[in-house]
Amino acid sequence: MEFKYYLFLAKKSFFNKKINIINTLLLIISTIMIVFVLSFYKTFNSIIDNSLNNDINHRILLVHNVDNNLDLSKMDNVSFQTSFDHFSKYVNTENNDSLVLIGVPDNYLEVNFGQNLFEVEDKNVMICPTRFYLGKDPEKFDQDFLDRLHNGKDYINKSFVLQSDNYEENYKIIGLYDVNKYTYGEYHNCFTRQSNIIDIANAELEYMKQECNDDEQNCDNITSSGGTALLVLKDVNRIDETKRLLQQQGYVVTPKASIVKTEINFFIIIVAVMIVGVIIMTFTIMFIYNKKSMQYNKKNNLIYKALGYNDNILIRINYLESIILSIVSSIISIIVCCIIYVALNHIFAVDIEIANPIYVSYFSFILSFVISLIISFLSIYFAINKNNNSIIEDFADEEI
Amino acid sequence: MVALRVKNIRKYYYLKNETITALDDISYNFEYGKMYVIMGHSGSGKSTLVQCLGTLDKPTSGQIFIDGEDVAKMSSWEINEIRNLKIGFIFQNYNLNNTMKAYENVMLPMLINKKYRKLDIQKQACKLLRDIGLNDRLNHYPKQLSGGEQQRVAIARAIANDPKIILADEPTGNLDEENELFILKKLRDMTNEGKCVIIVSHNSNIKEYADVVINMKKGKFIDYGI
Repeated sequence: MEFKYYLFLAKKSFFNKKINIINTLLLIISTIMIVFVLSFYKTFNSIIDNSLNNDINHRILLVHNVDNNLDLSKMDNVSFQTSFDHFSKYVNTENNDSLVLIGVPDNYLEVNFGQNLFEVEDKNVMICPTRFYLGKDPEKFDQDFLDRLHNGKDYINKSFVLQSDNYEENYKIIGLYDVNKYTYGEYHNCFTRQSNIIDIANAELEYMKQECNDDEQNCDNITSSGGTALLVLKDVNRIDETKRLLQQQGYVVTPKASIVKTEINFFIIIVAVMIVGVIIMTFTIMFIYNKKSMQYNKKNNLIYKALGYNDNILIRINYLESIILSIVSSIISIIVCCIIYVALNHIFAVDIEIANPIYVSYFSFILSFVISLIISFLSIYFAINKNNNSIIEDFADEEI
Repeated sequence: MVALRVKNIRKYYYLKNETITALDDISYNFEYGKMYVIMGHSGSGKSTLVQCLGTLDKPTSGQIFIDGEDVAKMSSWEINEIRNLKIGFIFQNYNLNNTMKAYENVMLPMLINKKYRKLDIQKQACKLLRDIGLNDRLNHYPKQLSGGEQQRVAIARAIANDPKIILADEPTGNLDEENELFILKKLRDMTNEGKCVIIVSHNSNIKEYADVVINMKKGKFIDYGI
């Protein structure tokens, strides 16, 4: 029989069997679940990767128990060296808003607007994010966060009084940096000269000593990580390599921030288990329904038998029907997923500039189509085999 | 010339507590160019016989020959080909595919006939329906047709591949007198064309169209009338 007639019979069968409504719904649901599991994984992976690659804290190695005179800044992949106590400080403004000040060499940053550290001689200057959050630590990126997120350009050449223990100085914002390039997801980190951080650290130490003198119980507050060198690396992908080199030289080395790649590996397993679960559930339900459908299709099969159709032809028609089923369900799934994707991004991406967009894994559509094809094929194959390889039953003698 | 020959065929149905004899040692020759009407009460084995003749069912024992060839020695592919090319079935309940239009139903047997591979099957199907008086019903679905019209579609489907043998199980059972007459005349025309027409029926009116009337009782041929 020509292929066009197989297609004709398969289309007729597909669009007129009520069971195919259930089959289509099942495949749509399974496709959407697979697409969103893989898209969520892709989005999560992208957030982690961006954070790992861009956040300065993820490219820091701490070298413990070393002499303060040790200079590792000339080492390959090292951007600059400082001490642990002299890297960053948490400060408040006069309005009780909080900031993190990070001390860097004058030529460390690229600025998008305004001036860089090496372009001015003033001491108390800082470079802040292009989108600048002034407030308490944001717990979530909601409307309140958005209300407090300011355009950094509004703050160029503006001054703030920054306060810490025993420290209060006027700082001027002279330039703006791209937050996604240096401190991914951190909108209240400003960069200043390393000497400023040392000043704040010394002031805090004096304060703690004074507290200790006043009350012995406060002496526990005096902590120092003296003897710990902090290395900011150039390439975060070579952090393990640099760490190994230092360890070979006998140093005790730890990363400042934990790398969450192990969680990602665990997440991959979760994703795989979920997808396998979806496939098994969909196949089982489809198999049960298709097996029942074959029994209800006896009359049509009887007609085909009387007209000379053999099992092979009818099996091929069924398989072609399963291909049509996969195509139809995939097309509907793509449309539904696009609608859900737009809705989710509208709901969760408060501001596209600050929030990580929700990615759609396009590969998942292809994977879902292949999976739906296999599921529908196999469910029909096993349903046919359950009927002893024949979907044509013998005539029942009506008179008996 | 013998179209169908049955030799000592028996058919038993084995139920839990009993064995039912549907066909009991029947031997007969059905010839081309003749109309045979098989009559008998319910349970006499008429439909079972027609199903066996049409290879839709297998006898428990005995032999069936179609054009001199033993059906039991044929492969399933050969049997399917016989059903497609040599035998046309007409059922009491029409057994049309309700999801297909009239002409699509008629096309069904032609789709697997190699003779029609390069021909326009749809045209052929529509011609058959016009010949049978359904010019205005080509695109109607079975549910949109009367009983008589559905049976005409069934007849057109049965003769789509020009089979030499027509097997009809109560073809006029659900029809009014006018349609019954039309169907019987059509079957008679087929007989006159040289086909072997075998009809199972309770309807005594059909006798006047038949060449041979066979009465069945308890799975046996009781008598053969003309």
